[in-house]
Amino acid sequence: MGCRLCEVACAVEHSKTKDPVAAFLEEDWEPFSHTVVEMIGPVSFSLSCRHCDEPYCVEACISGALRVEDDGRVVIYEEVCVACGMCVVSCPWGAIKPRKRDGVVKAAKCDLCPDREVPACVAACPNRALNFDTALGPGLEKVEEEEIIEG
Amino acid sequence: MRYVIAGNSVATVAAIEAIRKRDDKGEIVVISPEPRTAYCRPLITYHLAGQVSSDRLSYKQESFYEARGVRVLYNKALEGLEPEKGRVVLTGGEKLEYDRLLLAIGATPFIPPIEGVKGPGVHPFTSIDHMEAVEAHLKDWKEVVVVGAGMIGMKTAEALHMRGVKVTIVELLEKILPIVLDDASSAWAQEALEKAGVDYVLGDSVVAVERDGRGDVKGVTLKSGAFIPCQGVIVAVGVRPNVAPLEGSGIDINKGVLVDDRMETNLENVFAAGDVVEAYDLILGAKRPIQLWPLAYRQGLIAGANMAGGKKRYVGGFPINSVGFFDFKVASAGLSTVEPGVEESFEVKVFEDKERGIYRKVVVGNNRLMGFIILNDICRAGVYSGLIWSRMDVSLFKDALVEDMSMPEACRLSAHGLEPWSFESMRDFRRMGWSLFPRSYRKHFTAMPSRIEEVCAFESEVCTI
Repeated sequence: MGCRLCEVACAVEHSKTKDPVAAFLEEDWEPFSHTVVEMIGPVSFSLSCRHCDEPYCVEACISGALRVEDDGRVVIYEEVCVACGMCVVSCPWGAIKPRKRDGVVKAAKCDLCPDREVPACVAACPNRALNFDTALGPGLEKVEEEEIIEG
Repeated sequence: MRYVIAGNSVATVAAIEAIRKRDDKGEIVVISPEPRTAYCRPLITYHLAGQVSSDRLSYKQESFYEARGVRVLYNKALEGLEPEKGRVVLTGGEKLEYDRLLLAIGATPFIPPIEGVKGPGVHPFTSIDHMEAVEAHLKDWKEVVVVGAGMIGMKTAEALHMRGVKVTIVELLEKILPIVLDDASSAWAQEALEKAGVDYVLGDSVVAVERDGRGDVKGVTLKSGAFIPCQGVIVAVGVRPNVAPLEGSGIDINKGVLVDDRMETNLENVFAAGDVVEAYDLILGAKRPIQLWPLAYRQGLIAGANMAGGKKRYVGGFPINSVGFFDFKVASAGLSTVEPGVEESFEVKVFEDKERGIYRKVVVGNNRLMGFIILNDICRAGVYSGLIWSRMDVSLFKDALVEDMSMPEACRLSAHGLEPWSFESMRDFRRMGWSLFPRSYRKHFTAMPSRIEEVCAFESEVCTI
């Protein structure tokens, strides 16, 4: 329904203090959401990293900062990232964005909230359009985070 | 089964991963011409600039090879190929038999035949060895001429500038990054160079490297007659596929090693990947060498999978670049150099706002996105690459691609490729649900494929993953 609460939840979760008020008003880090709600007319859709099996971003990463973990998560090791932007320009979903924190730019993407059992966006979704599920099998995304629709 | 992989960089790493996914018993031997594990080749300029420490240069550590049971022969290069006997010749005449061979021997820097180019003080810049050689000279070098304003040339110039060296860039063509930028965006790059205090000479070439009595470089003479004093010269005019060791083996070579969509060469059980190959270009519709890191990875992955009995196909590639130097940042892909109004078969749309630092250009041909250039704000630029990969018809929203809006907004419209919905259609939607959706819409939202090639597989039979 396009409430964009997932964006808010993501931005709060990835803020310095994880406090909603501080994240949007007080912190020196700009609020930054990994997920973007795409909205056209009646359709809205929360788009974040698909955690692809053979990700473009991992192929494109010239510093080896992006890796596919054994459990299927695609993660970025920020200390290795040189902010060249190759992943940003390679991801066909536009799910990786450069993020500036404390004057340093690094690539940033959905990390499936390592500090939480269920990602913040999923927990925040009021009509359970976002689900968190782990699927194993050929051709299936190992970690699938799905979303959708509303009239 | 013995897999022999010649070369030890990103294509090799991808191939090892792909082979081990399917075959955990076969023996894998890697022939590494350099005495180190695979490293991040593009990072050598970052290291020279002092932005990346030497331990970060490594792409994969020893443990990567050990964990996958890979034997690496360091300091051995491929010297010859004897396909009828199924073996390769290594440095020192040693011979090694293979069941499956992957040629990932990369490319070598091209050194143009300039007078005085041979000798100390003139270096290419594509490997750690080159970087260390330049590093060793740095305390003596006050002025350096960089020949070639391509990716390597510009990143090296930036690194040298950051190390306090006075740099002059000499480029044969009239543009900075001539294979990526158009005239307008090159002007932005030139402005950034001027602001940083880096000299550049465009449309001119070096005809001679002048040396003093001891053989040290004292400057270069240009075609125009100008003389630029310097103590060192970096030659960065591109690389050529390293095909010399393969001559006489019967392998098909044009500029690079020709491969089919399985990354297999004309020789049985011989595959090739990376900078050495001439593979299919998705946009040109023909084979040509594109020497870029992401494509090398993809090709290595596909070659590895097919070597181990898999059925993966290479749909083709196109150049994708993201590079920044001084305060200039560019993301581009595909046919990006096409100038507006020059070629009739292309529709070129540009949005430029100097004040806010926005420059966006898209090249549309046959209603498909063929290429783009985006400066500075590259956030979500990947959606444009996605449009090229998927070969989606962009006729409905091609104006939105470059309109006056932020990158995420432009991407939002371009990603959907839909006309805005009216209130009426919203009511219809409530009543009729999904049946109202255009087919392309449903495809995007019901089954989100993990790779966009699956989308194009849907549309045409050309590619399967």
